[in-house]
Amino acid sequence: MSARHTLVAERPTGTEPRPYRFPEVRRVRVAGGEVIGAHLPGRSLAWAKLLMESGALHEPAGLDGLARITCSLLDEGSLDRDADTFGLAVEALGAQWRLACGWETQEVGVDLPADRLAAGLDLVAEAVRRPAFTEADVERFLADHVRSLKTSWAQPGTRAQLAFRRALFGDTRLGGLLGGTPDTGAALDAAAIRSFHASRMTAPGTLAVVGDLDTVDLAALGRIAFADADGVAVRADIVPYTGAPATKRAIVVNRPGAVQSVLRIGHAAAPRTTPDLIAIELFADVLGGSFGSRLNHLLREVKGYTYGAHANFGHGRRSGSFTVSASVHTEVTAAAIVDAIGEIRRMHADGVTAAELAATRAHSLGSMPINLQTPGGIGGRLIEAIVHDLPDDHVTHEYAEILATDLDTVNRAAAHHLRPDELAVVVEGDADRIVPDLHAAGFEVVSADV
Amino acid sequence: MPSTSAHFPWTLHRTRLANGLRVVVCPDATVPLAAVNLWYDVGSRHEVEGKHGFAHLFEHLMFEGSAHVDKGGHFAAIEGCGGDGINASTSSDRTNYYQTVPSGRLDLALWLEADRMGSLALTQETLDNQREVVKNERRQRYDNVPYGDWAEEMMALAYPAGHPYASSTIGSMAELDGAELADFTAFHETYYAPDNAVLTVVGDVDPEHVVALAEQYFGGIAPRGSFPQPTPAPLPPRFGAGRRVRLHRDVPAPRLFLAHRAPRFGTADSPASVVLASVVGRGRGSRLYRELVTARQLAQASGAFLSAWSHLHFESVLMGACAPSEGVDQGELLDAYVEVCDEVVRDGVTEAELDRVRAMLSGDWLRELATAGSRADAIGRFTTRFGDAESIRDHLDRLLAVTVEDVHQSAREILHEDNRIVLEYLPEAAEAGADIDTDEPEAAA
Repeated sequence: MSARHTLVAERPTGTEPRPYRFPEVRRVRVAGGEVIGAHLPGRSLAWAKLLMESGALHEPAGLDGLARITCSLLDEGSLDRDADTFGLAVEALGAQWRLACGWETQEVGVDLPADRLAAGLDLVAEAVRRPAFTEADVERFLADHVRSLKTSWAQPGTRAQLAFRRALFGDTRLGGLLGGTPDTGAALDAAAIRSFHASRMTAPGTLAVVGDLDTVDLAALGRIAFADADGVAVRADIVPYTGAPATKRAIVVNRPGAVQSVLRIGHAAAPRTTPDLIAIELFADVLGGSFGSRLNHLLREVKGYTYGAHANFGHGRRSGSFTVSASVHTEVTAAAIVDAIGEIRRMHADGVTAAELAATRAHSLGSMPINLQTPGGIGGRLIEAIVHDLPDDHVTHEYAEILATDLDTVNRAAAHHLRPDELAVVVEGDADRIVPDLHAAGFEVVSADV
Repeated sequence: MPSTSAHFPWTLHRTRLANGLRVVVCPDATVPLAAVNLWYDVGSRHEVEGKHGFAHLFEHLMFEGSAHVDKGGHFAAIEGCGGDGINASTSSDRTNYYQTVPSGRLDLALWLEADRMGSLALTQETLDNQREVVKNERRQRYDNVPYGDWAEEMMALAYPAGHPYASSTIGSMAELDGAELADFTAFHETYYAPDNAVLTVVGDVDPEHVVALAEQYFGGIAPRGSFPQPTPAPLPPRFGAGRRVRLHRDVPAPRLFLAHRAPRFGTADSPASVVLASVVGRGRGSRLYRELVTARQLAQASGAFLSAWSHLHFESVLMGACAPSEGVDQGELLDAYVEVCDEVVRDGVTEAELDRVRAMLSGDWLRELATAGSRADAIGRFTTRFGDAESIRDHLDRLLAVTVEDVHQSAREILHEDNRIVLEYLPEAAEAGADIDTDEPEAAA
């Protein structure tokens, strides 16, 4: 420190954050569907999405990726206008077309200047209710899709992710990738796409809207979105998988010449209905959520093995997963895996400290309004409420629950929801260079067939 | 037409402390937050030969502790007080540090930033650790990813050797290995000073209180007075000769990148170049999408066939990228891409095309200003570039005022055949032997 400078030594403490309250939610039933709106007065941006029961679990066997491709084709031409004209109409509103394709549900919508909301919703309805799926458009789009799958297949991590899902969920649909593989992509055609739309995407669905609701007629928006929607929504079948991975077995996806290894370590986990949801989120944040998390601290800030290491739980409607991910230098691959497993074991055995809980609780509470500044951020929590059938004030309630969750509850959850002996250990890297070290570290090594 | 009449409706309070620190406050009581953003007017453009990547590595070291903050303590303090949206980034032009905190924790964020502006607690151990982290960042972003090094390769073609923009911000493994502690203490001493920074605070804050806190925490840091600047010779407005370079690499399919020299951000002719890039190459309704994807099915779909990089200090680039469809020769795709550009150069663009782009740019601007953190960063950018935060107010108006004649003129200048460098990535199997070959090898820049 230069003597020229005078710095204040005493760290200021500031004042406590105000409690967060989720925006007012309004619901309207109209035209066979439901509209759920969140009120953000005075905002210049608005957001709307139609949620449908048409996720990847609804796909016929062997057609992995069909749900996503059907959803992606919705804005590639309607009965009213061709693909280019439709694209121009979206852009002329200053709108961004938003898609999300999950295991159970899909979302199609727009993010746009608030005064264009109704016009934007007209386009969403046109795309969802009256898609053209012409032979020429589908052929062009599928060719492009297969080529892009080939590119994503060459990215580090894609094949690791497939091997990881397979280790967690076997040969069920959950054991594949949401978007499919180059092989399954090649099996898709226009007939399958039309059939999927007709059987899965013709129910009214639920419309989520975020904006200044005093200037928006939710019922009118609902009538636009649900017009001509005469199908029935059903929930997909889900095939249970009872196999469990073993931590002692390392599954290697060979990537000759790779200078880094992509790690995926974890196991299947509870769905979002678990009563331990908040406790899980809190210990997961300490393990691998924040910058100062145990995994990032050890693997990055102490060892320098990686640019970043993370852990998270994904909570689906009927399934879940726990995943540790990192890209590590090839030469330290086995050591990094051993360290990561060690942190999972330590969390399972000892849980978090009171100081860690205090810090992660503050982070969770404070980051809520930071991450919910935009209509899209708010909309994500509305969608969550719809998918998981949660009350309108679920985010406000979550805030209170984070405050109330104590150390014992968090640590019981860590002991219960982490299974350090049943981890799938997947590594995509240069097998010639990493396998000897994995053997030396005591792993039984198997090659992944991906 | 824009959907709001006031494109930047917020009040801006501008102050300069006695030590030269510019403080900009943008009160917004709709969020219970304070976004704290520092733009330091230093980037990889200030690096000297043999020390590329040092500005970025230095940025990492700013999280490794200062006089009153432990290694990692900045992150821990911000996250532990309920903050988020915390990080930093380094470009060729600048280095920014940012975080958003509950508004009641503003003082803590300012104190942390002041402590590392005025002091660093570097050790050989932290340097060695962050050197390894950055090398892994390089592996993850550049070396282990197909096409990951394309921008690095292109910058070396688009700028003459030794130009401040000719090298990537990440640096090479060899240069990173050669970094010594003294390099970074000198870097801090040279560039990290209040009179080389802009502090922006956006959120539920009182401007006078912010300035008082800034005075309290930053006021004791001495100004530096002057800062060494790179002074490259001005470049001609065009490369002067077309150029095509092929690289044979471990990639799954061919891909093309196309650089065109273009005006830097903030010049009179830069808005037209931004609009030009959007008309020709951005989004579903762009010329290149409709011709290359829909009509002729030569290219893979992309939302960004052409985009403006908007460098702040020296000549910038409009950067193109495209990947051939299955079974399409990349030469055929390149010819079609150039045909589309030539048509714009010859015939100009239409008012309808401009309206599409105006709507997109208006939407972009609303999104960029929608969060406290992103708005603070934009204010920092305009204040650094133009010396006055108020310059942000008519940013969108300048873009919306661009006419078809302006775009046509911009196209004639930028999309000229003498102003195009084509970089082709080809799978290794395509040609055994040399991994690089070049047509028209005369120096481009």
